[in-house]
Amino acid sequence: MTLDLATITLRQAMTGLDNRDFSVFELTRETLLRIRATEPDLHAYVEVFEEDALKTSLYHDRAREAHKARRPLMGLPIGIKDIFDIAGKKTLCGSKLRDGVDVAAYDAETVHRLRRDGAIFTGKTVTQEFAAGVVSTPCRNPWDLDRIPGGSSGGSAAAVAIGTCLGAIGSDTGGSIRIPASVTGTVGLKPTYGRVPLKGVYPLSPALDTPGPIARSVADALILYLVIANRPSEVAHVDAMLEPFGPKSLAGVRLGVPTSFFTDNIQPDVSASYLVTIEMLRSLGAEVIEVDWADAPAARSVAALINRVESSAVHHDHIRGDEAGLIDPHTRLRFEVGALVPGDLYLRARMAREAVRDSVAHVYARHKLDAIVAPTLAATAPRADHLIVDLPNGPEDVGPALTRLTMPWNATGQPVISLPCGFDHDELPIGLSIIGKPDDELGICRIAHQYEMATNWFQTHARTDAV
Amino acid sequence: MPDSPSPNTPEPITADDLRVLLGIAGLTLSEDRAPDVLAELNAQLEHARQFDPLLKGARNPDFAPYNPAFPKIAIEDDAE
Repeated sequence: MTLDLATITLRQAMTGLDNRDFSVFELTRETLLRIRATEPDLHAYVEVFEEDALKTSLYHDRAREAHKARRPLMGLPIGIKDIFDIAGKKTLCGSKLRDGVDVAAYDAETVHRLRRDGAIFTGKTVTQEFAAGVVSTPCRNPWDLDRIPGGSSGGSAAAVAIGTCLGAIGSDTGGSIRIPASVTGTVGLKPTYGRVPLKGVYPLSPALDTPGPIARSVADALILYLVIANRPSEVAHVDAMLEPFGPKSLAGVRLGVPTSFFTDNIQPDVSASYLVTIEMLRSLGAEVIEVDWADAPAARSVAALINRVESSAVHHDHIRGDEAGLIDPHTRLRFEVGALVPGDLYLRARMAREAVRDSVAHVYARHKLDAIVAPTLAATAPRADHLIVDLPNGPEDVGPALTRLTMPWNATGQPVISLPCGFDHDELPIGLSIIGKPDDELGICRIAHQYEMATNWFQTHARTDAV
Repeated sequence: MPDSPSPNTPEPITADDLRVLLGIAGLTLSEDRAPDVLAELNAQLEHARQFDPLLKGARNPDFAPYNPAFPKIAIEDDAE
């Protein structure tokens, strides 16, 4: 197997290392060289751990030669969003407020699990300030450097898309894994809320925050998920878990296709791609059922209000002290407004959260659904110098435009995988979301994998010469 | 969306209300930023109006940690 970081997946790199097609040191060195070559334009990393990564790679090569117990991610380069603590490194959260912060004493629990299972950390990836937003300045989109990579896990997605790591960890509070995955042509998995620990992750809204992977294929995303969900023994069985079942591989699978909220006011290219995708899923044998979840707008509102109030509480001292001026004005406004929302409305939002969870559960039960499929976003990547999204009903600010379709699933806490399903007229990636029942990450990965195998989207990569 | 605000959700906040709220919250705000804060605050109250109808008849909550697991649901008629 050739070591081509433009195209290789995490799963393929595992095979390459096992077959001794290349060493861990060679994989690490090539990854670091690629970071050097692309970072001046891409800005996906806050800090690159060159020395640590090379040292660790030599350790893993020796361990492989000594036939020590194999760990699932042994020697694979992984990026970490800069709100996760890595022992001995600063967690800057994309904020000037944290410039003088001490290095973290311990790994975040997710980082610990990745390290324990053999990952090599390439560096800290760029996040929107305190993970509150969708732009991820200064990082750019590898498909078009004039465009944003989405956020808040924009650096993680951009690095995966261009091949300066083979997988990355992000977090999703209102769409922060799925939005960058969608606009960078990568695969993002938001696990079920509460199933991946938040210890050592700088909070935004603890009732919604969900760590998860961004990867180059569904299999890669599942591998990383199994590690951070503390199920590493299952990684060896991922191929069997996702085994294709032939030309009608989705026979017997019931997929809900939501109307109105998820299909109104989306860009025409996104809409066209979505319709083609539905037909493709049907051709794979899935039974496609039109469903109406009338409470979707309310679910979005529940997540929005909880997010605002909790993030304000997290930053209580920051917005009241002399340092408030160091926070980006838009971020500061979000936090300030959360402090002004009456407390009873926050508690009512928490009550309504259970109501929208129960109402979507009724949709699944009524139609005996295995999953719902919907566009991840209403749009493709906006330009970095014009943070307005053109939609059929008129222009909309980038924040609400990109989170409209993602936030309802933060309210319900269901697992969602976003994967590429086409390109728009500017050759920018479009994302499809598959939304599962709680704790059915494997189910949505199976459906996503069958679709992925039937198309060539995941084999289409951002061009390095654009970077 | 209801035609009129539910009795459980407040009317839109005015600039005068905002000054009071800021004082209670211990926040200071320059005059030029007040309109943006006011607009965003009213957007949040609009969110509350969006979900408020779901709470009619809701039982008193116990505010236990949120569990996303779906409840058991019995469907009497066959799925379409």
